[in-house]
Amino acid sequence: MTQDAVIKDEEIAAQAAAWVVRLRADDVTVEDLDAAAAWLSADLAHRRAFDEAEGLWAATDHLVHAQASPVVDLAAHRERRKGIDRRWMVAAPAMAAALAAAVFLAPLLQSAPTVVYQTAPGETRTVALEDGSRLQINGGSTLSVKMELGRRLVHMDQAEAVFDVAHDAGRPFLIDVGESQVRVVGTAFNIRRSAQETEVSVLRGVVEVGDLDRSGRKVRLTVGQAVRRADADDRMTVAPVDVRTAAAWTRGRRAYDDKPLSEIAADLSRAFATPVTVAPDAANLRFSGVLVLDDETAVIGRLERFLPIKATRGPQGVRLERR
Amino acid sequence: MARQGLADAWLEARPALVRFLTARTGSSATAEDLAQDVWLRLQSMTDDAAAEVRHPQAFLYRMAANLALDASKAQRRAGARDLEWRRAAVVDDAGDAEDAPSAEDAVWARLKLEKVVAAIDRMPPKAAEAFRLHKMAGLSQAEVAERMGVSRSAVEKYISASLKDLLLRVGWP
Repeated sequence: MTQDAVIKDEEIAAQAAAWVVRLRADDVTVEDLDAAAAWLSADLAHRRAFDEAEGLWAATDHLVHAQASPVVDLAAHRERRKGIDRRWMVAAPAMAAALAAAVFLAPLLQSAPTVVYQTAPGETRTVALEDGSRLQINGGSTLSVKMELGRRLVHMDQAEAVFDVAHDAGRPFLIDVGESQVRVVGTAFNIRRSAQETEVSVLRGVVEVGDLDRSGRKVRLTVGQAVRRADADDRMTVAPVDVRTAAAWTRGRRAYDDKPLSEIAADLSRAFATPVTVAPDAANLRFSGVLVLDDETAVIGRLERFLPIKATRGPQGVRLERR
Repeated sequence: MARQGLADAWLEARPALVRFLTARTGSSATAEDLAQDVWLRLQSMTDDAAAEVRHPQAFLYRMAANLALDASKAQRRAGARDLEWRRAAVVDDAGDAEDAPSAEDAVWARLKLEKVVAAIDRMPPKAAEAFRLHKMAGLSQAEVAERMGVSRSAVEKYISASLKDLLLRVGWP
């Protein structure tokens, strides 16, 4: 492999570039293919130039990433993320080259404003985005949306939302959540982000969930599948999910299948104005069933009948303890 | 496009693609191997993935061209003409066959970023804009045309011109 194998013959370079672009156009025809084949066969130099032009064409797809994600070690990355908000990874270029790129990419990357949506506990909100996508945001959530020219970006802090994403193959829909990145292929799904865990459930279509730092590591989920990932370890666990209940919160219900009380408390804190906490001795009690989220006191009363717990109300909200 | 439609499009386009791949690789045996790889990939596509395809002929060409490019990269890497080596590498990785080449591309992009930025700065403004919109912002050529208020063929010329500039000023790999 020779470094800087620059094509010297400008005419051949121009023809090779023209063929690469023509053949990769959406309206490529059989006639184009045959004409390109004739050109390629005419001279070995044509074939070499075409190979280089193809390689260059593919490699330039990575320019945006080269600018956006400088190499950093994972530990430092995590630390920074916990501190101040990461601002889509583009705000703090770490290399001189990235700085140069920021200048020419700036008009594209910064033209779209970041819009932050925040809901109070107990408040749900439906947001219609300009592309026709719809977000149903559960209570106690914060998420931000940035509609760039070439991609649609959502960043989720602690939040839960159902996404109904308008199909647009040329403008991928990407969601940064915890350590994961969700890439949407055109579909509807629920994402639940708690303090230490991310859960993605697919209601329709196909969704890809990957790692923010390692692009090669990803799982592809289809209808009726959910992936769960705890921040503590890096494992992604895929499990079946009932599509009728995964987004039940949008209809004022919550369905649980052998879930710890701590998770239910987090959901209740999102659904109602009074926060619910769990004493450590009760955190791992399991519950299965459907809770109708009509009224906080009533819901807690039902939990008290199902589980060996008692609720006490204090200035900090409701505390659930083992009885 | 349903799976069956994609399979039909393949049967129709296959002869022309094999002729092209023969000229591209210089070997009809290699072209047949690559065509077989395309067919295998079509077989393993999900219904949802097939439904996403809007321009079957363009999709099939790109799939074939990408496989040909991967093969050529593998040859460069190995420094050998033995195509069996490439086939082994492609089959081993199964679903993630693109991973090794794209990791190379990512390194290329990091190393050449400054040179590419400098080359883009020296391009005629319209060529630079079309290239940025298509390759950096991910717009289709039709969308670039609409956004710039020029014809599709003008966009193709601008993008070709910018690719030629990069070939001459930056090169690959």
